[in-house]
Amino acid sequence: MPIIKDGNPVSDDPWVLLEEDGDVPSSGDIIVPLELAQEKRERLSNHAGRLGLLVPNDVDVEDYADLIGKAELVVLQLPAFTDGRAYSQARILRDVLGYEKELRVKGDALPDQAAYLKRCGFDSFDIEGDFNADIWQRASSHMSKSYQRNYRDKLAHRSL
Amino acid sequence: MYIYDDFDETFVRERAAQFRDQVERRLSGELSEEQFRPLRLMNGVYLQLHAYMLRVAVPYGTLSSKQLRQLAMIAKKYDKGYGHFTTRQNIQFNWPKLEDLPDILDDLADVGMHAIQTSGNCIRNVTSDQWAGVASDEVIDPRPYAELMRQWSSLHPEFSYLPRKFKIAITGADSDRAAIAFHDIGLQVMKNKTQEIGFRVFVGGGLGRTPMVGKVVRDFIGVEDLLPYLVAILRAYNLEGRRDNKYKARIKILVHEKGIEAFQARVEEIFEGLDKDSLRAQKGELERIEAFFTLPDYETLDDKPASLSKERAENSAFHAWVMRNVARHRQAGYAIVNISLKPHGGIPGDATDEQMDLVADLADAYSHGEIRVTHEQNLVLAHVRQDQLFELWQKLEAAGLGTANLGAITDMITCPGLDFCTLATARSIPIAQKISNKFSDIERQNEIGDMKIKISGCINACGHHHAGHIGILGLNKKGEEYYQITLGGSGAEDAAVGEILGPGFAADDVAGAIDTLVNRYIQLRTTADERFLDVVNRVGLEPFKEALYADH
Repeated sequence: MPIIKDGNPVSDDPWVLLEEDGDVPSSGDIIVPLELAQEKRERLSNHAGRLGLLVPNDVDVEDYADLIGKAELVVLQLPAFTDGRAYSQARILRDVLGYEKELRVKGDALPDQAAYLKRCGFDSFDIEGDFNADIWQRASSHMSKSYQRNYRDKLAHRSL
Repeated sequence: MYIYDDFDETFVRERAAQFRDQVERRLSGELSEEQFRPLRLMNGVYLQLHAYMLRVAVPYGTLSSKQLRQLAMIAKKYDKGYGHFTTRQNIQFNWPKLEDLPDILDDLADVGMHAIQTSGNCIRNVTSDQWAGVASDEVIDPRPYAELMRQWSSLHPEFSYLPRKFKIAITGADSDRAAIAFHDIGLQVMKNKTQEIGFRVFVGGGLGRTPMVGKVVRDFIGVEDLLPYLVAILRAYNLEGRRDNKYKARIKILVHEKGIEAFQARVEEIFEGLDKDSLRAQKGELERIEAFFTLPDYETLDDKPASLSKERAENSAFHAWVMRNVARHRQAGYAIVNISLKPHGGIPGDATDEQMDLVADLADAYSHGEIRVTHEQNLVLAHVRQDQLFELWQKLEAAGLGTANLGAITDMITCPGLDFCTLATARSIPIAQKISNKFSDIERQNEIGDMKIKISGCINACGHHHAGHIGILGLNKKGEEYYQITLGGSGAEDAAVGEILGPGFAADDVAGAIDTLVNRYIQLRTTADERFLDVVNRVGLEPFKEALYADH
């Protein structure tokens, strides 16, 4: 399935995800697993291209504030659609660490969850399975109101 | 009570439309049952032994007469003519068809109701004291804060995929009628030394297979920091709560494994880092909500009118009902009426559509059109004039709603058990019915006094057996149902988990065993005021063990 942004597939996503124990190319837009990024910190500081980070869902993102501050893309993970840790990680990235670049979610999410994910601060989706723009659109646009203040809020909210 | 504005109305309508779409996708096969499951659960739809079950939210147990009539209509049109009030102050319908559910949600939305988050691993319906606003021992009315939390927790973007369900209860009185110590978060509204309003916060209480009494995580948090502080607790739980084993996934296990001090430190650390302003209720919102919870226009009346004394003297059944079911009101000349849904030999918590219609009419005639649901599965009319009690009682009595057993031995909490539930290991309802029949004599019940029996049909403890003065747990060994008895539990301000007495009893022997325990208690008590629970706490389990197992 392609990357989804603003409800539409992106055909020319430039990002390449590196293997956990793979080589680091010297250029290009790369998504580096967090552990590898720590190991190759020096090497990556000279990287000719944009840096993205793939963050496991069981780490405290505040511990990696410096790496995250340098990233142009952070990818958080949903190993199962019932696993909600990435939602809190996203809130911390956005609201506590002040991360403002692209935030992507990768893994198992239903179209019905897209609205929640966006409200927590995600911009793009790298989701398993087939993409049906119609269903995606329908499922993610039912609710026009929210009781909570959301990230870059477009919904009417009551700021609770 | 709180009335929806356009915002709430649109929110609930859109949510109903969203669920209609999800049901259509399920019926067309586009969604698998596995994918549909968390979506339906977050709309209160379970799949039980025989059918789907719909659990409708009754926020902090408060209903208008119009809403109760709509519930009666739903019971009649889509179900088998009855509904079941639950320990979460909600109502369940046991027999709806999947294809009818979107219509039912529309019918609910017509009266400002919904089934949002009555199930699923999210923040559930917030519960409270059923006497909130009118109790004579109340310090602060908890309902505005309960409503604030209802709104804040509805479709919360961050906390809708928690490790496990999450229950919040709030009380503002000295006596805890909301069992706050057995909730994931329990809140006690209070005033501090400088008369500022705030909350004592308990965390990590719960029943289930690992019962725990909640611990204080914050002695006092001011009103404006309530929502940010809840975010800090929920965030700590969402990130660190166990997801490897559903039986160890509740916050009580996290608090237990981490230790309350370490958990508290983590919560404070998160709390400190929050942009609190962005998480607080916007200015004026709490005041807007509070305006809905002003007391009705009471008349100036005298306490204990002469007519009431005369009616009580002339009618012993009415007198017995007043003694048991009518509670002291903060306003002179008024009373809190508790309607028992525990008729002798009946199914605890069930009400027929006719009974619901009648209670709605009585609420209009005698109690400012408002009804409360209690976590002990009864109903309350909170604003009744003392000089109208007799009239009201006669109408209740004629409809089978006048049972004078509130807080007595036959006022049992009972889970649906193996008659309905897929998780149950034994039946609960027939056990309650046998005990109810055995103790149906009102004089005997009054002689026994305050007693809380709670029955669960499996170790998930939906019937709160751990918190029963006498708890009964239904289990299954080699295809035979048997029942374990615990003593000494309490869900009130003296919260405690009951202890197991000894080997279990066969279904037919449970009521007899309770009779033996009660007889022993009466021998042991020093005054008629010493409750069963007091005696257990004073003498321990031994005398009761001897009485039960001496012949074995």
